[in-house]
Amino acid sequence: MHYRISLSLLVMSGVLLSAPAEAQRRAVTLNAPSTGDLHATVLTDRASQPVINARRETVALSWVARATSGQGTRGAHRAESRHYTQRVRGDALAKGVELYTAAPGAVVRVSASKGRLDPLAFSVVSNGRRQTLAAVSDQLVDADNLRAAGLDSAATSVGARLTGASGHIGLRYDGQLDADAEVVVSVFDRQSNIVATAQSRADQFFDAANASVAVTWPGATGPVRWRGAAVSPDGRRYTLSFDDSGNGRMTQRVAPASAPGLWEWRVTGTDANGVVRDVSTAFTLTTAVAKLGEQVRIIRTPGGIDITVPVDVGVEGRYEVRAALTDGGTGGASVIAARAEWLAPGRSEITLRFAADHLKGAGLSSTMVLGDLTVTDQSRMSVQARRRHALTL
Amino acid sequence: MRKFTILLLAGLGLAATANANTGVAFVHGTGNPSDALNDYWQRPIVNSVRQGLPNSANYTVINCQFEEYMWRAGAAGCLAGQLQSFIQSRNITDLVVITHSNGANVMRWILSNPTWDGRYPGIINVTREVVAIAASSKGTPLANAVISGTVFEAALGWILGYANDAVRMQQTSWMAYYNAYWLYGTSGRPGLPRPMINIVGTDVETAFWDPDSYCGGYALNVGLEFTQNWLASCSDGFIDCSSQAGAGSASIFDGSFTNEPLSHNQSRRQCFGIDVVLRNRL
Repeated sequence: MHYRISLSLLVMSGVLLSAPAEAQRRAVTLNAPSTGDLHATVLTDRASQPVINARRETVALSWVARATSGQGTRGAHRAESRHYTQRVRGDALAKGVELYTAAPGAVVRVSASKGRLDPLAFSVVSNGRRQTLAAVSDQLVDADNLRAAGLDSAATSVGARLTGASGHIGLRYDGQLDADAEVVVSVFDRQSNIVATAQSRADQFFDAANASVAVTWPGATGPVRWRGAAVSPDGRRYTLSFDDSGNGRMTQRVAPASAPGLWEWRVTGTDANGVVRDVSTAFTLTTAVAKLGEQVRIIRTPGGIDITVPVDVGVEGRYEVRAALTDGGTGGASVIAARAEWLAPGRSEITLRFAADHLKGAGLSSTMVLGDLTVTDQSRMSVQARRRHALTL
Repeated sequence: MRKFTILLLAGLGLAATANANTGVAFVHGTGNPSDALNDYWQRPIVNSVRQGLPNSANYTVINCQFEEYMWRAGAAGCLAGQLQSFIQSRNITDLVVITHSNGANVMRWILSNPTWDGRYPGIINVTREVVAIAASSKGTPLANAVISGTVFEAALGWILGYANDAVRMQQTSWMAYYNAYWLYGTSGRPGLPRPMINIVGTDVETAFWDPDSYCGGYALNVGLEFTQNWLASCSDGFIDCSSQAGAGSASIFDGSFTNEPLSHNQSRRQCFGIDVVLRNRL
């Protein structure tokens, strides 16, 4: 499929183009934030994150964007897991460690902090019978195989798919291994229907006190013991304590913490039968350094539509304002305009320019919706505000 | 006086005009190759694909630090610099960018965040389309598997495998966040300013008696048979088909042009006609 070229490039210095005399101007109040929107009320004048993008040049852009198919996923990501990991010493592995798989076909990986594990030197006890790992596996690989596949595993790694053993399994290493070696045994119970889930209450929080995660263990026949930690971007862990919210869901609030950025909820559940599941999912803590002003100015000219958006900034940095004009939310093509520049603390105004050619090219009529109005702190890579349905033109 | 750049882009793709100077860029996946031409792609596929150019010398093979987060200077910054240099030095006016695996995420960062860096709009302006081979657009469960650990202990990637930011980024919950807030092109999000066409590999075959299993390296395919355990029934051994086709405007599955499935390793080599598919897109 081919398309006509329609682009123009203007490189200007100095003053913005002035609006012609026939421009229609009006001031409009944005729609109030609704559920799912991001909206800070109090800004800080200090940011603890390092600056990622310190570029000072102003870049303004608009383009016609096709709509993608489907509705996407609403709400935070729901992670599922049939997996758990246990950590033992080399001498413990030499005596045998107990694994539990709920179904045949589980994949086991073993890695040690030193030495080199020989896949042929492992044995397994299952149903009272000891066999070599190779005898109960239809796939047996070492680190060279995994690295060749692009999985850059430690040199000591061994992997096996157990088709001849399941349930309570004793795994023992009969080769040479230092007693004090740290060993990680990872079990992926791929065919099991025992699945733990974790879902953050939201993708992003301004206030750590509002951050929470819900974990579930569908079909559990008895109580599940949960342990967890919220892990910050710099690796610090904050132990979680769970409250039973009933209906098979456990919720937890993270302790107040600093370190804005991408965090992880890491949770381990153990059921009454000793089945273990590790599950993790990401969320973001954001320091509020910018917010939208509520009154925008709209100027319509034959050349297009300019929308001037006030932005309150607490910490200087590179900020972008971006929004999309769509045809009354019908899901067709949209025109996106974005502008990024370095802003000092205080109130600034960012003008988004939606060119007439693009509005026509996108098939937008006189009634348009300004949506996904977003303020982004590019300096510290955080989304500061998002208004999904900002206003109707 | 303050200097700034205003760009108006057509959101629809470009058609090569009679006077276009077409070029192709090969963008690798996770890793920091110093010689991606010989180590990541290998010459046969590059030399075959560039024969589709009016001027077969108009090609470049990118070498960047894709073990970093996609927005970092060593990743998107490096990619932007090398693409800009290529465009300017060869006067490219019509660019096709071919990516493999995580390379699509880095290119999608540029397309989705055009104001991040003053170099990005000029690159987008001349880009006709991105052809994303085996893209990890929604991450991969394999990244979850190697960046794992018990609740109260440090991430054990250093034991289990990868411990770099790019793999950390490609965990499925992390990519879900980036797709929702920082990247365009996935379902329910605005489309990218340029078309992204996915090429999807659907399986791994390692039959020692089958010569096709040796294309791209038999040992590599053995490992991919094992990694496929973490993936859905449709995968190339590293990335689920749903992730490979998770962003962009269209997807070409390997079955549409070959009887042999393309594994994650084979899709960056001259295997089963993928080079012809790429060549024809130029």
